[in-house]
Amino acid sequence: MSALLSVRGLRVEFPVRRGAFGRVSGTVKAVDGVDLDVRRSETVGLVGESGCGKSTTGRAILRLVEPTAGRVVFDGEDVGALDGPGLRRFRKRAQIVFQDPFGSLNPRLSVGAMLEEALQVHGLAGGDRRGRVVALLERVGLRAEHVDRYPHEFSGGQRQRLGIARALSVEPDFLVLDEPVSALDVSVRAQVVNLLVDLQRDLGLTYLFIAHDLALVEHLSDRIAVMYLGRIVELAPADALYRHPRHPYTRSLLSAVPRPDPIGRERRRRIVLSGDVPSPVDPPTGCPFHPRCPHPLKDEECRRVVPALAEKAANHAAACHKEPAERSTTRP
Amino acid sequence: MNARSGGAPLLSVRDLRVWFDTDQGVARAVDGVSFDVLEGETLGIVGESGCGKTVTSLSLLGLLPRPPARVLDDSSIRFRGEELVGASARRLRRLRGNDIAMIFQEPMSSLNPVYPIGDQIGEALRLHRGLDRRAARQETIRLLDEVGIAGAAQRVDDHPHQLSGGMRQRVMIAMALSCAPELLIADEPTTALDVTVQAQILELLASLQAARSMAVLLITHDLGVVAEVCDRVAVMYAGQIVETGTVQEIFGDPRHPYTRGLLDSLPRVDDPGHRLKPIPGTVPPPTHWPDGCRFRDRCPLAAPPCAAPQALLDLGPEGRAARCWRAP
Repeated sequence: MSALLSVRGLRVEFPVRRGAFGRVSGTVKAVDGVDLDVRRSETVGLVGESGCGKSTTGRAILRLVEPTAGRVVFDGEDVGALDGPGLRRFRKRAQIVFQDPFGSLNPRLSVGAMLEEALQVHGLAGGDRRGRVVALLERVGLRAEHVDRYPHEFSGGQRQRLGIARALSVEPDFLVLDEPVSALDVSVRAQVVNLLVDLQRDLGLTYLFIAHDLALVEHLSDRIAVMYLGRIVELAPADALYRHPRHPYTRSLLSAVPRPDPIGRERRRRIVLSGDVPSPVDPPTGCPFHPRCPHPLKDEECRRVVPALAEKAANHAAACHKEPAERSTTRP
Repeated sequence: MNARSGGAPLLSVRDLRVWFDTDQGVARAVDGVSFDVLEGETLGIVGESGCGKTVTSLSLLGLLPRPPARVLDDSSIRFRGEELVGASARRLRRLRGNDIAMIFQEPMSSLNPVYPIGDQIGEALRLHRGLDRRAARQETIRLLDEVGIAGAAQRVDDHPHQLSGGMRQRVMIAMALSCAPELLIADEPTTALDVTVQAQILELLASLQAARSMAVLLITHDLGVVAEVCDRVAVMYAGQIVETGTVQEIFGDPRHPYTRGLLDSLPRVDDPGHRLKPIPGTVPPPTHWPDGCRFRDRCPLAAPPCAAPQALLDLGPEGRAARCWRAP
């Protein structure tokens, strides 16, 4: 399967300003060298704790924030080189759904006006615009009569359906889903998750699914990338990542997830990490995870040398000096 | 985890009704809630937004503004047998902090940003335990150390903004523990935290509870957290408790269709890719609870008997109950 999206060496740095004159006193390396391929019709999950750079990665791919360095290639085209009309063509094919549907919907536009505007901007304003809008609403599980309502008249789950309808209005191939169900209650969350699954199946969509909820990421993703302090520390098919995590951070992250299984809670061995995620303004030297890492073989190398994301088993890469590679694998 | 069965409950809530007068009408946010918290146990109250779990917890200590809130006359909240509904503001103030403490989801909004954290914990110690300044500082450092803040002797002079979210929640816990309460009410204490920090805080709460044999009333929307830490569980929906039982009973043998629906909505780690079974529809607004069974509109098993109001039916010993005529 060919890659629809190919990201190489992606970096996003933000200046840190201090004082009344906004003197630049440092940089935050929000994304610090990310390589990632997303194949056609697959879902890649991007998971990590707050501040790990997962949302910034998603936005930089769509050039909603400008990358500091690196290359994003979408269907053979270098996204970084696109100008006005080219960028608009790209945005017609690559869309985003945000976490907070209310914050991303214009409160003064009716649902119909909002969706028609998107069609118009992208030159999809054929004869039956209203009909297209109604079809779109029905596609995401809303009804024709919702066309004249305003965002505040909808519940949280319905608003997220609107956010999805807005993204789908231009008939994209690729969606960045940035914590699309995190703000929803559990019963409604499952409704929206099923909708995303159905849309992908019916429309052949490709997803980059960004979330902090590991159980949900596993449920939706074919492959999963785990981020820590701006870097991908592990990349593997979903089942392999859950059954045999190969980075100590992934192992502790998985063990920290509360499971709805009270019977097994006594048996489960939990690795509780000490401390918090370090500040990306002043990241640790060497492996970014080393100050919290519980790996028994941790040594001077971890404190000095940044580990590269290396293949440890077939299709399973981790950025850890101490995690052995299985013999049979060949390095890419 | 060391619930002593038998004996009088520490906290006993009966028929609690807390209504709000709003422009849309009367919101019956809490509408006939009864439960007990036994000494040393952890009771979880779980439900989705708008179910009334937070209003329940706030009303226990008289923390709701009245008006618009009204606690109806037949409501009863007994702590060690003493009736708190209608108790004087002075009496409630004395109970808060001394006997019952509370921590919230967002520690930043419960801490004063302009004072060092040590002053804020110290104030509680001086007011409630009558310590002098020096002794209060000593005790503050000891408490910060107990809740796992490294370098407590230096951290005591930090301001809240200098701490991470997890550290702030530790400070709140230290403050809550300062007067050795018998009951800790924890309202979504880890919801704003990352999963690795959440694990730290849950572990801390469990170890403190065991060391101090304190009871915990945990309010949460997260079924995973409930399964990890609770002894018994009350599931709330639309202002009412719809099911109670031990944590094993609730997760292993749910009797109310809403509880079952919540569990079916969760992705399962042991079976990824299976299709989730959502509950259709959304929670109705508290000004317009449906007549009869309040879950009826969303229930896959709805039938004519559901049109009548449902009572919480006893299903077994030690508070096993469900609000559904099909449950027995």
